[in-house]
Amino acid sequence: MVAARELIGTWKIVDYVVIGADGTLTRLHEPGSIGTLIYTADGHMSASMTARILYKGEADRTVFLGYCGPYECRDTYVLHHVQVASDPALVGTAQRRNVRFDGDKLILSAAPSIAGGPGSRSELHWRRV
Amino acid sequence: MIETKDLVGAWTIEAFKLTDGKGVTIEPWEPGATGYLVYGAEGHMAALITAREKIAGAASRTTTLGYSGPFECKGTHVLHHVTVASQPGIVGTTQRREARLEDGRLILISAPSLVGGPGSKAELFWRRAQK
Repeated sequence: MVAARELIGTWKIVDYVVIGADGTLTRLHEPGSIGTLIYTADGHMSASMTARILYKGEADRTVFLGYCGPYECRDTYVLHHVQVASDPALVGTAQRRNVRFDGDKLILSAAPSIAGGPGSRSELHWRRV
Repeated sequence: MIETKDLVGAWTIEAFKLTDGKGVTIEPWEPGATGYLVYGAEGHMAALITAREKIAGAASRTTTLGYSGPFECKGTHVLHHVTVASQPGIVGTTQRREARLEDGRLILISAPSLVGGPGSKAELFWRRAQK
Protein backbone atom coordinates (compact mmCIF):
# COMPACT_ATOMS: atom_id res chain seq x y z
CA MET A 1 0.00 0.00 0.00
CA VAL A 2 1.28 3.42 -0.93
CA ALA A 3 0.40 6.34 1.32
CA ALA A 4 0.59 9.98 0.24
CA ARG A 5 2.80 10.78 3.23
CA GLU A 6 5.49 8.52 1.76
CA LEU A 7 5.50 10.56 -1.44
CA ILE A 8 5.01 14.13 -0.18
CA GLY A 9 8.13 16.22 -0.69
CA THR A 10 10.69 16.76 -3.43
CA TRP A 11 12.65 14.10 -5.29
CA LYS A 12 15.46 14.24 -7.81
CA ILE A 13 16.07 11.68 -10.49
CA VAL A 14 18.93 9.24 -10.05
CA ASP A 15 18.24 6.69 -12.78
CA TYR A 16 15.95 5.98 -15.72
CA VAL A 17 15.93 2.48 -17.18
CA VAL A 18 13.83 0.39 -19.54
CA ILE A 19 13.59 -3.35 -18.88
CA GLY A 20 12.65 -5.25 -22.04
CA ALA A 21 10.30 -8.24 -22.28
CA ASP A 22 13.40 -10.49 -22.32
CA GLY A 23 14.81 -8.85 -19.18
CA THR A 24 17.48 -6.80 -20.93
CA LEU A 25 18.11 -3.47 -19.35
CA THR A 26 18.66 -0.28 -21.28
CA ARG A 27 19.77 2.82 -19.46
CA LEU A 28 18.03 5.75 -21.11
CA HIS A 29 19.73 8.23 -18.95
CA GLU A 30 23.11 9.79 -19.15
CA PRO A 31 24.91 11.79 -16.52
CA GLY A 32 23.50 15.25 -16.91
CA SER A 33 19.89 14.18 -17.01
CA ILE A 34 18.07 16.03 -14.30
CA GLY A 35 14.60 15.87 -12.97
CA THR A 36 12.51 17.08 -10.09
CA LEU A 37 9.35 15.45 -8.81
CA ILE A 38 7.23 17.26 -6.23
CA TYR A 39 4.23 15.87 -4.35
CA THR A 40 2.41 18.45 -2.24
CA ALA A 41 0.43 17.78 0.91
CA ASP A 42 -2.66 19.28 -0.76
CA GLY A 43 -2.73 16.49 -3.34
CA HIS A 44 -0.94 17.82 -6.40
CA MET A 45 2.21 16.74 -8.20
CA SER A 46 4.67 18.10 -10.70
CA ALA A 47 7.38 16.34 -12.68
CA SER A 48 10.04 18.25 -14.61
CA MET A 49 12.86 16.48 -16.39
CA THR A 50 15.49 17.10 -18.97
CA ALA A 51 17.07 13.90 -20.16
CA ARG A 52 19.60 12.98 -22.78
CA ILE A 53 17.67 10.21 -24.43
CA LEU A 54 19.52 7.52 -26.34
CA TYR A 55 17.56 6.63 -29.45
CA LYS A 56 18.52 3.60 -31.52
CA GLY A 57 20.02 4.75 -34.80
CA GLU A 58 19.64 8.42 -33.97
CA ALA A 59 21.82 11.07 -32.45
CA ASP A 60 21.25 11.57 -28.74
CA ARG A 61 19.07 14.50 -27.97
CA THR A 62 18.03 16.37 -24.91
CA VAL A 63 14.32 16.49 -24.27
CA PHE A 64 12.25 18.28 -21.68
CA LEU A 65 9.23 16.55 -20.20
CA GLY A 66 7.01 18.22 -17.67
CA TYR A 67 3.56 17.50 -16.38
CA CYS A 68 1.40 18.48 -13.39
CA GLY A 69 -1.93 17.72 -11.82
CA PRO A 70 -3.71 16.12 -8.89
CA TYR A 71 -2.54 12.69 -7.76
CA GLU A 72 -4.08 9.85 -5.81
CA CYS A 73 -2.60 6.79 -4.13
CA ARG A 74 -4.27 3.43 -4.74
CA ASP A 75 -2.99 0.10 -3.51
CA THR A 76 0.54 -0.22 -4.86
CA TYR A 77 0.36 2.57 -7.41
CA VAL A 78 -0.13 6.28 -7.79
CA LEU A 79 -2.30 7.95 -10.42
CA HIS A 80 -1.13 11.25 -11.87
CA HIS A 81 -4.13 13.06 -13.36
CA VAL A 82 -2.39 15.23 -15.93
CA GLN A 83 -3.80 18.74 -16.30
CA VAL A 84 -0.83 20.56 -17.82
CA ALA A 85 1.92 18.91 -19.87
CA SER A 86 4.73 19.74 -22.22
CA ASP A 87 3.42 16.91 -24.45
CA PRO A 88 -0.20 17.79 -25.35
CA ALA A 89 -1.05 14.08 -25.74
CA LEU A 90 -0.71 13.59 -21.98
CA VAL A 91 -3.26 16.23 -20.99
CA GLY A 92 -6.40 14.64 -19.59
CA THR A 93 -4.79 11.22 -19.14
CA ALA A 94 -4.18 9.40 -15.87
CA GLN A 95 -0.57 8.25 -15.73
CA ARG A 96 -0.43 5.14 -13.59
CA ARG A 97 2.88 4.38 -11.89
CA ASN A 98 3.62 1.41 -9.71
CA VAL A 99 5.40 2.51 -6.56
CA ARG A 100 8.06 0.73 -4.59
CA PHE A 101 10.81 1.78 -2.27
CA ASP A 102 14.37 0.45 -2.27
CA GLY A 103 16.24 1.85 0.72
CA ASP A 104 16.00 5.62 0.32
CA LYS A 105 14.98 5.36 -3.34
CA LEU A 106 11.49 5.82 -4.73
CA ILE A 107 10.98 3.71 -7.84
CA LEU A 108 8.11 4.57 -10.17
CA SER A 109 7.51 2.10 -12.96
CA ALA A 110 5.27 2.13 -16.00
CA ALA A 111 4.35 -1.00 -17.94
CA PRO A 112 4.53 -1.42 -20.80
CA SER A 113 7.14 1.23 -21.40
CA ILE A 114 6.43 3.37 -24.46
CA ALA A 115 10.06 3.09 -25.49
CA GLY A 116 10.39 -0.64 -24.77
CA GLY A 117 7.26 -2.12 -26.39
CA PRO A 118 5.05 -5.03 -25.25
CA GLY A 119 6.15 -6.82 -22.07
CA SER A 120 8.58 -4.08 -21.14
CA ARG A 121 8.58 -1.65 -18.28
CA SER A 122 10.34 1.60 -17.57
CA GLU A 123 11.58 2.64 -14.17
CA LEU A 124 12.39 6.05 -12.84
CA HIS A 125 14.49 6.05 -9.69
CA TRP A 126 14.29 9.06 -7.37
CA ARG A 127 15.94 10.23 -4.16
CA ARG A 128 14.77 12.94 -1.78
CA VAL A 129 16.64 16.21 -2.32
CA MET B 1 6.19 40.36 2.98
CA ILE B 2 5.68 36.97 1.45
CA GLU B 3 6.36 33.79 3.39
CA THR B 4 6.82 30.17 2.39
CA LYS B 5 3.59 29.18 4.13
CA ASP B 6 1.66 31.61 1.87
CA LEU B 7 2.95 29.84 -1.23
CA VAL B 8 3.11 26.15 -0.28
CA GLY B 9 0.71 24.00 -2.29
CA ALA B 10 -0.50 24.04 -5.89
CA TRP B 11 -1.83 26.88 -8.03
CA THR B 12 -3.39 27.04 -11.49
CA ILE B 13 -3.07 29.91 -13.94
CA GLU B 14 -5.86 32.39 -14.37
CA ALA B 15 -4.42 35.23 -16.45
CA PHE B 16 -1.28 36.81 -17.85
CA LYS B 17 -1.03 40.55 -18.36
CA LEU B 18 1.82 42.45 -19.90
CA THR B 19 2.17 46.20 -19.39
CA ASP B 20 4.64 48.11 -21.56
CA GLY B 21 6.77 51.13 -20.62
CA LYS B 22 3.93 53.49 -21.64
CA GLY B 23 1.41 51.82 -19.33
CA VAL B 24 -0.49 49.97 -22.05
CA THR B 25 -1.68 46.55 -20.84
CA ILE B 26 -2.32 43.60 -23.12
CA GLU B 27 -3.15 39.92 -22.63
CA PRO B 28 -0.56 38.16 -24.79
CA TRP B 29 -2.25 34.74 -24.73
CA GLU B 30 -5.38 33.39 -26.34
CA PRO B 31 -8.00 32.04 -23.89
CA GLY B 32 -7.40 28.45 -22.81
CA ALA B 33 -3.88 28.67 -21.43
CA THR B 34 -3.04 26.03 -18.85
CA GLY B 35 -0.54 26.46 -16.08
CA TYR B 36 0.45 24.84 -12.81
CA LEU B 37 2.68 26.20 -10.10
CA VAL B 38 3.73 24.01 -7.19
CA TYR B 39 5.60 25.03 -4.03
CA GLY B 40 6.74 22.22 -1.75
CA ALA B 41 6.97 22.78 2.00
CA GLU B 42 10.64 21.79 1.99
CA GLY B 43 11.61 24.60 -0.39
CA HIS B 44 11.31 23.44 -4.00
CA MET B 45 9.04 24.77 -6.71
CA ALA B 46 7.98 23.88 -10.23
CA ALA B 47 6.07 25.84 -12.85
CA LEU B 48 4.64 24.64 -16.15
CA ILE B 49 2.63 26.74 -18.59
CA THR B 50 1.30 26.00 -22.05
CA ALA B 51 -0.36 28.81 -23.96
CA ARG B 52 -1.14 29.99 -27.44
CA GLU B 53 0.73 33.20 -27.91
CA LYS B 54 -0.93 35.91 -30.03
CA ILE B 55 1.32 37.15 -32.81
CA ALA B 56 0.49 40.35 -34.69
CA GLY B 57 -0.35 39.63 -38.33
CA ALA B 58 0.27 35.89 -38.01
CA ALA B 59 -1.23 32.70 -36.64
CA SER B 60 -0.79 32.19 -32.91
CA ARG B 61 1.78 29.65 -31.81
CA THR B 62 1.92 27.26 -28.89
CA THR B 63 4.46 28.09 -26.25
CA THR B 64 5.54 25.89 -23.35
CA LEU B 65 7.56 27.07 -20.40
CA GLY B 66 8.50 24.79 -17.56
CA TYR B 67 11.07 25.12 -14.84
CA SER B 68 11.88 23.82 -11.38
CA GLY B 69 14.29 24.37 -8.53
CA PRO B 70 14.70 25.59 -4.96
CA PHE B 71 12.89 28.77 -3.96
CA GLU B 72 13.29 31.31 -1.16
CA CYS B 73 11.18 34.20 0.07
CA LYS B 74 12.91 37.56 0.52
CA GLY B 75 10.79 40.49 1.63
CA THR B 76 8.10 41.05 -0.98
CA HIS B 77 9.78 38.75 -3.49
CA VAL B 78 10.19 35.06 -4.15
CA LEU B 79 13.38 33.83 -5.79
CA HIS B 80 13.20 30.78 -8.06
CA HIS B 81 16.65 29.20 -8.45
CA VAL B 82 16.22 27.30 -11.72
CA THR B 83 17.85 23.86 -11.94
CA VAL B 84 15.65 22.20 -14.61
CA ALA B 85 13.96 24.06 -17.47
CA SER B 86 12.37 23.66 -20.86
CA GLN B 87 14.53 26.56 -22.07
CA PRO B 88 18.21 25.74 -21.48
CA GLY B 89 19.00 29.48 -21.25
CA ILE B 90 17.33 29.89 -17.88
CA VAL B 91 19.00 26.93 -16.14
CA GLY B 92 21.28 28.32 -13.43
CA THR B 93 19.49 31.69 -13.32
CA THR B 94 17.50 33.12 -10.43
CA GLN B 95 14.02 34.20 -11.49
CA ARG B 96 12.95 36.97 -9.11
CA ARG B 97 9.24 37.66 -8.78
CA GLU B 98 7.33 40.13 -6.65
CA ALA B 99 4.62 38.06 -4.94
CA ARG B 100 1.29 39.50 -3.80
CA LEU B 101 -1.74 37.80 -2.31
CA GLU B 102 -5.05 39.43 -3.21
CA ASP B 103 -8.49 37.90 -2.63
CA GLY B 104 -7.08 34.39 -2.55
CA ARG B 105 -5.13 34.98 -5.73
CA LEU B 106 -1.39 34.89 -6.02
CA ILE B 107 0.08 37.51 -8.35
CA LEU B 108 3.67 37.07 -9.48
CA ILE B 109 5.18 40.12 -11.11
CA SER B 110 8.40 40.45 -13.05
CA ALA B 111 9.58 43.96 -13.81
CA PRO B 112 10.95 44.71 -16.25
CA SER B 113 9.37 41.88 -18.18
CA LEU B 114 11.74 39.77 -20.28
CA VAL B 115 9.69 40.48 -23.39
CA GLY B 116 8.43 44.02 -22.68
CA GLY B 117 11.65 46.01 -22.27
CA PRO B 118 12.45 48.87 -19.87
CA GLY B 119 9.58 50.09 -17.68
CA SER B 120 7.45 47.06 -18.49
CA LYS B 121 6.00 44.45 -16.18
CA ALA B 122 4.53 40.99 -16.58
CA GLU B 123 1.88 39.80 -14.15
CA LEU B 124 0.83 36.18 -13.74
CA PHE B 125 -2.39 35.55 -11.79
CA TRP B 126 -2.82 32.21 -10.00
CA ARG B 127 -5.56 30.53 -7.99
CA ARG B 128 -5.33 27.57 -5.61
CA ALA B 129 -5.59 24.36 -7.63
CA GLN B 130 -8.75 22.31 -7.16
CA LYS B 131 -8.68 18.53 -7.06
